[in-house]
Amino acid sequence: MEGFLNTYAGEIAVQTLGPEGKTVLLGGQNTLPFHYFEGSPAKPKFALEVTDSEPDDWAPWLQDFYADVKSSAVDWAKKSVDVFGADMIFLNLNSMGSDLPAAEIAAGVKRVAEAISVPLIVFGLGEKEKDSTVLPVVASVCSGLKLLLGPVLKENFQEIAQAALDHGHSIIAQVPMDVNLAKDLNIKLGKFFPMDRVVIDPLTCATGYGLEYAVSTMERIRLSAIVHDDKTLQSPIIARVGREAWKTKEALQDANKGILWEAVTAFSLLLSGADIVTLRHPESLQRVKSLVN
Amino acid sequence: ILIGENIQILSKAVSEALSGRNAQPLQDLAVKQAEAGVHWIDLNIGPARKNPTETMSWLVNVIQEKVGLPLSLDTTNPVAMEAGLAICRQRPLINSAAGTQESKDKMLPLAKQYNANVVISVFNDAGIPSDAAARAESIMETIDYANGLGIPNEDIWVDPILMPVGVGQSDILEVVEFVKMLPDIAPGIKSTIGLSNVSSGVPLHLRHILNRVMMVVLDLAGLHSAIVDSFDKELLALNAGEKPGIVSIIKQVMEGEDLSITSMSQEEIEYYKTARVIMGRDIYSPSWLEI
Ligand code: B12
Ligand code: SF4
Repeated sequence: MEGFLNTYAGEIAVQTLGPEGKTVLLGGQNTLPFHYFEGSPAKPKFALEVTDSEPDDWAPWLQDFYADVKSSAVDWAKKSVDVFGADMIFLNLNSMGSDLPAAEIAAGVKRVAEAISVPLIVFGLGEKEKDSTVLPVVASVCSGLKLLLGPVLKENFQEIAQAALDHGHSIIAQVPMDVNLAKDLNIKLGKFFPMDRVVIDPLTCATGYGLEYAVSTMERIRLSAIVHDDKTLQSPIIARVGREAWKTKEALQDANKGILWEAVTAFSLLLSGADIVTLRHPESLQRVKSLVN
Repeated sequence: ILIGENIQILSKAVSEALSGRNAQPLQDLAVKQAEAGVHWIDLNIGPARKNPTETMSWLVNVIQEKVGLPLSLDTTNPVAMEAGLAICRQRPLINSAAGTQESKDKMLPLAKQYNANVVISVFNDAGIPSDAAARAESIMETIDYANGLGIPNEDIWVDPILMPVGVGQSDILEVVEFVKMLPDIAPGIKSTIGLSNVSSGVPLHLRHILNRVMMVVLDLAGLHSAIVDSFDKELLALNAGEKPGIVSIIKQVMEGEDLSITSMSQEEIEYYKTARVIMGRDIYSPSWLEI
């Protein structure tokens, strides 16, 4: 058997997320996803998504499922960890769509971060101006809480990455499904930001909605990092599955289809190299977790 | 063989001079390209939907007044193409025909009728072939068809169609492989390529070095000619063999060597890094020269 096994030159640096006592280790693998027979792959991490204000844009089934907690991000986050077993919480800053001042949004983030026993991922709207005004405030108010903060884009990475650097956070570098652009943003970040605090978000999508494109981009990123030892691409990958899976016409028709859609998409992206998948329903989390473990 | 690309409808100055029938700027462009040392002048008027015949005839006449170089007529409009072919003093180059049925019906026959050279691209009704083998299959089919019309291999310039490095980096190696195959699959055949395609989408100040390295690689692979920016002096110098040191670095990268850059000049380092990207040794990113 040994004759067929490969050892690879590249590896993904280990990253610790979350403050003392509630840390999670990301990355550290020296082989391809699930290649236990060839090295030590990283254990995937499952995050459950929460919103910092009413999740009006979520599928109706989800709003019913979380009816008891959806009006309080702190209760919702705690339940997702304590009852539903999330490894991390992914906090969508929906409130950035309203005119709530940045300081108040940041204070809300801090309450969630301090209330839960796992690391917190904080995600803006993906709009370069709004994100670059709010996310730096969140970074400073939550100084030292070691958040994973994003999205950082090539248009606004200076401000957000600098704030994350000053206050000890990791960042999510987002690129539109393109290995060349992913490499470029990492090179630009690498000039002033520690590369072992960068996670790549390749803007993945749902099964049936061009998944092959997401899969091929992620595979190219991970193959360059592990097989070709391309230092500029040796970052963990996050796949934000919840939003894309639950906006499909299938998920909007039927809750069970939504769960299946989310689970199948998450599992496919884990096979393609995702280190963190963010999900919206605990049932799909359990199904994929049982598959993976 | 270098074909100057600078008379190009996409450039504002050219399209204004053309629509205003203002010969001077176009003639200057042709003369400057000839002085730069290219061997052919490409006249790219695009689809030329508005009075194609008159536009092409006017352009060919005013250019031939000032420049003696042979002309490559670059239009997708067969009517405009024919108008130009009829009045070319030197044997022209049809740029271009392809493997599509439409091109076989409307463009290829013109090569026979006017005894012209003809660029045939690997493009066919199924689109752009994805690798060297698919390119070979497509071009052989079209070459057979052209031979059937009485067009010999010597008059056919095959265009492999080069993808931008930022879109299909791995496809570049397929093009190089395909160029190497040409003498075996079609003896006596010529070839050409739209060189600047490799760097489209790349930041402007970084485009030239990609084009130059691509030209040297394709030259070493046996390419007959290339459609190039006539005003890239260094590209012309490289083609004229004035930079053997740079060519040898590129050749070594092509042969799979890893070189140490400690003893290289800044220029050599940039050519070395670029050659590694062109040959797929490093994944492309717009900052490839900075790492
Ligand atoms: C509309 C459209 C979009 C819209 C989609 C809006 C939406 N989600 O409803 C927007 C502008 C957001 C978009 C974005 C992108 N698109 Co688009 N898009 C199209 C387009 C023009 C029509 C698709 C469509 O509506 N078909 C009709 C509907 C009824 O059929 P449908 O298949 O169910 O449509 C869904 C999918 O097509 C999906 N979708 C649309 N584009 C893309 C791209 C990818 C990669 C994925 C996963 C899904 C997806 O959204 C539609 C509704 O859910 C196609 C080209 C074409 N003519 O097919 C390109 C096309 C599908 N897109 C493409 C690309 C590359 C992208 C981007 C990756 C661009 C980028 N680099 O950022 C992003 C990916 C966004 C994402 N995460 O899904 C490519 C995909 C190439 C490939 N090999 O897969 C295509 C084929 C265009 C092209 N020729 O390159 N796109
Ligand atoms: S639909 Fe997609 S491929 Fe077409 S222009 Fe828009 S982003 Fe580009």
